[in-house]
Amino acid sequence: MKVMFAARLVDFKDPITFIRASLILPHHDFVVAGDGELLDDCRKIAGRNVTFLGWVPQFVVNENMINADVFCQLSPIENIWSSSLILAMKYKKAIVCTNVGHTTRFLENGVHALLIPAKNEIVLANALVKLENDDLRHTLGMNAFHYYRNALEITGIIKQIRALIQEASIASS
Amino acid sequence: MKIAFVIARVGEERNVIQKLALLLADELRRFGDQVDIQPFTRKSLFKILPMQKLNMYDCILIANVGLQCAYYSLYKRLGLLRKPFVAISFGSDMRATGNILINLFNKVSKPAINLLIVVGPDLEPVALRRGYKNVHYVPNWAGALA
Repeated sequence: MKVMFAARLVDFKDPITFIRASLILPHHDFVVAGDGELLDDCRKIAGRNVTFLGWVPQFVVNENMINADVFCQLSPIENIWSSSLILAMKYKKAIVCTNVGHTTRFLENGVHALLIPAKNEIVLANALVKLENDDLRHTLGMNAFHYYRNALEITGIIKQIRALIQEASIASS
Repeated sequence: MKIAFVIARVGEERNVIQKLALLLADELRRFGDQVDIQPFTRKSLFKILPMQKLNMYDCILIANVGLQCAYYSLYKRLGLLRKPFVAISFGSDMRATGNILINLFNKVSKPAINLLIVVGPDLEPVALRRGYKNVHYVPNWAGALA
């Protein structure tokens, strides 16, 4: 199974827990897209089953996302709305996400993603084992995609922004 | 609507904010708005803004409350720009409450901004704590990057 992490490699995104989980699951392939101050720390503890892409253009992130089975969003502070999380939802990926900040206000555990506590590689590894089930991955991916279609597509959001701009323009004129 | 959209670091592949801002501009044009991009670089600091031209827009839209926002805000606070300011915060400009420069940009910009749109729900309370009055949350449209 191919597991993906795409973010800046900084404390706010917690790539370390992802790498630690890779040590527990040596037969899974882990892919990290992104660079940042924690890249060296990540490389030091990673095993052979981790591929570091470094910073790559958006289309490379997209290609890797398409090929991944599971996407991990592991911030210990806030996940809503990370660009990579939204992309994973659009690409119908099964998602493991930390239940921090406003996450549970928008994503339901077992429906849109598997929600787990932050900074816990054992729970993350267990969630990934659970996602070896094809049906579960498919269901979570489709639910996340429907959420994306209903709430996160650009056209609907731009309508909200236009209305807000018009309101502000009228109010200040 | 006629919108002047101030965006920093236009064309920098690694900068997601400028990509999202350009996507927003394209989508607003699809709705029939006239959106003119005003690219901002540090060199812009040494140019005098074309106030007469900018005052012909219905509003000034600014991507992120950074240096670009503070710079335009100074003109508005001096009464040289008279149009409503709408800033869109993507997070880095609001969350870093310990960053002296970011705090300064916020301090300078805040009185000039008529509406602050934030793309994360956690940013709303942060912006209110920073003293912004008219703050609205909308979701991130990053799905359009695919």
